[in-house]
Parts: sequence; structure tokens; C-alpha cells
Amino acid sequence: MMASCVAENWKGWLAEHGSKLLLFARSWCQSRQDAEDLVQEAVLKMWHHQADRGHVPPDLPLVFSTIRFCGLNFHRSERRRKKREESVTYLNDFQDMWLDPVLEDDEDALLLREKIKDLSPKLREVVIMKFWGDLTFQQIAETLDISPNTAASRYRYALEQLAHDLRRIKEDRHAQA
Amino acid sequence: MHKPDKPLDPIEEVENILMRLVPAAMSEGATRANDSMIDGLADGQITVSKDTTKRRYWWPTGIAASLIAGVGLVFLDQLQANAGAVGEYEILETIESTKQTSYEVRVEKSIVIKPKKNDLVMQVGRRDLSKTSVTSEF
Repeated sequence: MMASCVAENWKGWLAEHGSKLLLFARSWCQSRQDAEDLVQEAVLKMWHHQADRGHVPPDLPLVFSTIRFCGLNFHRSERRRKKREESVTYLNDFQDMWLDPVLEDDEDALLLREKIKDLSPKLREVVIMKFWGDLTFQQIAETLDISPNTAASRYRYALEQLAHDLRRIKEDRHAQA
Repeated sequence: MHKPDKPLDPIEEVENILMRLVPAAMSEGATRANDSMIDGLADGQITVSKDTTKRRYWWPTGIAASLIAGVGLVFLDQLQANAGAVGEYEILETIESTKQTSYEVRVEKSIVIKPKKNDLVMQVGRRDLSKTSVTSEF
């Protein structure tokens, strides 16, 4: 009885936050499948971590931090694997998107979606945690082991970069028209 | 908040656009895998963790009890051994015999004793073999 309650609690928690965690995990992986594996690994670690805390689902900042830790490990092993298998060609799934637009044919949203991928990892992880993870700068700072001011600066810088990219694309289109 | 009569700040504009993007959902396969993992963990580990909690308290107690009992037994045994050593013996029989064959003379002198505190009968003595000059004690 208790076990099923705990399981339902965790499943509900994952249904609510899974997509945010997956988005964050995408920064560390080449494919969606790898990112999903990363989230699963983090959930497993969290499960064991929460065993002494009444098996309640964990706080989001801690999960982001764990995904980051798993991602770093994954990145290391992936680099080693690629060195071993340099001759292998990896297929890229171009339909595999990190973010979905709420409205269809939202041109600006589709443009920014691509530009978010082009952000440097340091800027991108702050934007993801702040914007879609709903973390405060203080929580982001704790997760990344940086100061809250640095977290806020990175966020601001990332948005400025996105604004600049968006403006340039629009100007190019205007010039072509 | 943005006022309609004011040009939109580029940062604010980006934030507005970002709000129109939502993280892609996890695939059905991954969701099933996670749910299955959680079910497995909940069924297995919660039971295990309960047992672990019990063992965490009872195992050291068991080990400590065994050690104490072991030390106690050794101590009691030592007492009995000491008591036996200083106890008196009852001599049941004195044996003196000489056996001669064609190649040796065998002389044996021994006593059969029994401690007064128990019924353990023992024989102690000396045996001489004259021809081969071999003496053994038993």
C-alpha cells in the first residue's frame, strides 16, 4: 500500500517535471534517447538519495545538479567512445526538437528555438534552469557552484545574444524582401 | 510589464517569445521505462529499507551478545580447568609389570587415577624397553 503511494507520488512528480529535466539533459547529449537515459539515471540516483528522507520526490535544483553531474560523466565517456570509434557516422534526427512552439507557425519562436541550441553551454544551462526550470538565481547559483550575480549575468547575456541574433535575422529577411 | 505605447525592450521581446516555447515531452518509451523503474524500486527497495533499518539496530546487538557469551564461556571454562588442576585425585590402581620377549625386556610402572570431581579415569606412568634403550613416557 505504502509502496504504491510512493510510486504514484514519484510518477506524478516526473510527469510534471520530466520535460524540464529532459530539456536540461539535452545540453549534455547528442540524441534524445541519451538525454532520456540521463534523466532516468538521475531519477534513480535521486531515489536512493531520498530513501533516508521518507522517499519524497526531490527538490528541482538538486535534480538539475544531479543531471549535470551525470551529464559530465556521460560527456567524458562519450568523448572516449568517439575517440575509439572515429570511423562511425552518427545519424542526426532533424525532427528531434528540444522545444515545441505553443502556436503553430510561430516564426519567431521557431527561430529562437534554433538559436538556443547555438548558445554556449554555460549560457544555455542558465536560461533553461531559469526559464523552464523556474529556478531562482540563488538556486541556479547553488546548482552550478557560481555566485547569484554570475548566474544573473549569464542569463542577461544569453538573452542579449538571442535578441541580437533575432534582430539580425529579421534585418536580413527585410533586406531580401 | 510592457506598455503598448512604449517600444518593446529587445530582452523583453525575447522573453515573450521564449514563453511561447515549451520543453518537448518525454517519449512514451522513456515514460514507460521510468514508471516501470519507479514501480520496481518502490516494491523492492521500500521493503528492503525497512529490513535494513531493523538490522541496523539488531545486528550489532547480536554480535555484542555473541562476544559477551563467548568471553563468558572461556572464563567459566578457565575456572573449571584451574579447579581441576588443584583438585585431588583418587588412585585407583598401581601397575607394575615386566614383560620379557626374546629381544627385549619391557618394564612398565603406572598408576590409574580419577579426579574426585568427575569420573574421568586416566593412566599415567613410565615404560622402559631395556634392549633397545628406548624409554617412553605416556
